[in-house]
Amino acid sequence: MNSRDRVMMALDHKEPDKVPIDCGATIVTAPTRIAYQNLRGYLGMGEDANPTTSHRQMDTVYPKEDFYQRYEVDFRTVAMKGPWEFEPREMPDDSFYDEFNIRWKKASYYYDVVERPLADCETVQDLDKAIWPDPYDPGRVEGLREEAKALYENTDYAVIADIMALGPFEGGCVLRGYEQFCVDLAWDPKFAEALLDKITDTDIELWDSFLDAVGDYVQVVCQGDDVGMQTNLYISPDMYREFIKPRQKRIFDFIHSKTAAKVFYHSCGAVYDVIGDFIDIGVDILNPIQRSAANMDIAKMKKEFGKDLCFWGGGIDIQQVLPFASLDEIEEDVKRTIEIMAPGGGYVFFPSHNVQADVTPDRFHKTFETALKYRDYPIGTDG
Amino acid sequence: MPGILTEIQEDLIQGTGPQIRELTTRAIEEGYSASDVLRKALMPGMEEVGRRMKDGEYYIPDVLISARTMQMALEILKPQLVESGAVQAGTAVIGSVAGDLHDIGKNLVGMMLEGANFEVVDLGTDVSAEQFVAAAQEHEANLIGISALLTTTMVAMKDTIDAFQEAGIRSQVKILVGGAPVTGAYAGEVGADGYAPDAGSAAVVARELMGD
Repeated sequence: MNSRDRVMMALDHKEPDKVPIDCGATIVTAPTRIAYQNLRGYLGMGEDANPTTSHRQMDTVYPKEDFYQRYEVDFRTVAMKGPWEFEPREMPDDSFYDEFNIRWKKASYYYDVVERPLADCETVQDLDKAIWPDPYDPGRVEGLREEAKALYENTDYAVIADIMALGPFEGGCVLRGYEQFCVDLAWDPKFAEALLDKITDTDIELWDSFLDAVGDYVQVVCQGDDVGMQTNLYISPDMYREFIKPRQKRIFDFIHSKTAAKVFYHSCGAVYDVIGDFIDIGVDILNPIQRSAANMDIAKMKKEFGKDLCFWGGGIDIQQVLPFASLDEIEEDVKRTIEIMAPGGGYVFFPSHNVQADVTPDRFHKTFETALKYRDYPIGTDG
Repeated sequence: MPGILTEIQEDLIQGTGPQIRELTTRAIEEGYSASDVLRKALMPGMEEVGRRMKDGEYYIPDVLISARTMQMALEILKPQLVESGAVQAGTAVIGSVAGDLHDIGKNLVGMMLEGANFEVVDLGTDVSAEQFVAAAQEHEANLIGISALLTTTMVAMKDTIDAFQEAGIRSQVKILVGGAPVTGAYAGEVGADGYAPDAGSAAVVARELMGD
């Protein structure tokens, strides 16, 4: 069975020959640059002289073909490009302004937001005065149709359209500031809704542009919108349903109208209380299952939602386990995860988020070596 | 409890915003001292907000609007509190560790500590061990709150705590740690005095550490 058929069967909730494996095909299922180079060294592959950055702020990479093949990754990616009409404005202190005029600054390994362009907006009219990217800048999709077509026709991999837009909630938080946006939701709902609509419209136009180019060739389309934190949702389920869910639904409906691909939705954190809502609005695949967050037990997820929702991730916890565990513990954990998540299909293997710089290469390798060892269906008969 | 103080407390818990100014002014006019309003209405109100957050009934917006409502009341009470020399629960120096620019959790902890009547000195994000120590000395802090969001940055918690040891002031402060990847066991390993999984619990632990 080839990779694409394997993935399509799994995403249709059927058992293929093996559990599909991802390692680097999206910006939220990726090795960070350091973890990637360390592992290449450990495997004797040699350093990737010119790694392809998949997300600058998170310092993730799209691995090279030899790495993908080493771990039998079943996916390849088409990523939207930058616009012709905009270059990030680089500042001398290792910070830069992006297309929304958000300023990101580097500390240790990552960039985080230090200036929020809509922080001082007071009225809905102020939102129009802000800088909004041009979703239809032709630079974004230059050559992408050919790239996607080639992947579709000349390889057997499942093709992914990667995350390229901030979701409505996360966008509101990043553009306005987390605290101010949360206060807006409570005290100035009209303003919050106007901002959410602007972000949603922009996202839909970006998808319009991206899917016009690649929609015929991709099997999975990825959208992120982090609504969970470690202990709970950021906002109440009621507030999520009133403000965020209808906008996410608009985005997912639009994606479904433009392509036959499955919708992959990424939200970190403790999202258990609204997983049923995700299913309502057309999410086919949930990533990542942050297992160390509250109420995110993988067996419970599979039992309660596995019939309607595919899971992609959660293969091993990256907060308490992967950076610290012994190799035996890692093997035990990954094996158990596959036994819980894989039966009946609907599961793609990857840890519960990007593999960070503090994960030693032997642990990183052990994780995927174990997944390869135990991924054959029927589950529980190998190894 | 007298009606006006109950109203203030309820307003704070609900996070109703500017109308608390009027209520606070009225309470003072009715003869309550600023300290009464703080101790009998605002502090128990924020304690209840913290409890609701800890128990998952309150989410980030709920906590933020309560904290902002409290600020509005405090603006009115501050001059009288300063004048009367009202005693605070302690002075807390807080910040996110070196290499970490995340501040949502740390800011919430700051708000909850203010709600528990701590003087809060917020050093912001990416705070070096030396900056923590210097600020603790300058402000004569008795509580240090150290936050980290990432497994890659939480290692700086130990360096920060060690710096207090090296500066010879470790015994003068209680150190509270928290942040997404941090656990109680990790807090013990790095030599902290306390750990809290959320901002609501942080205020409770902080008061316990102060011997309250």
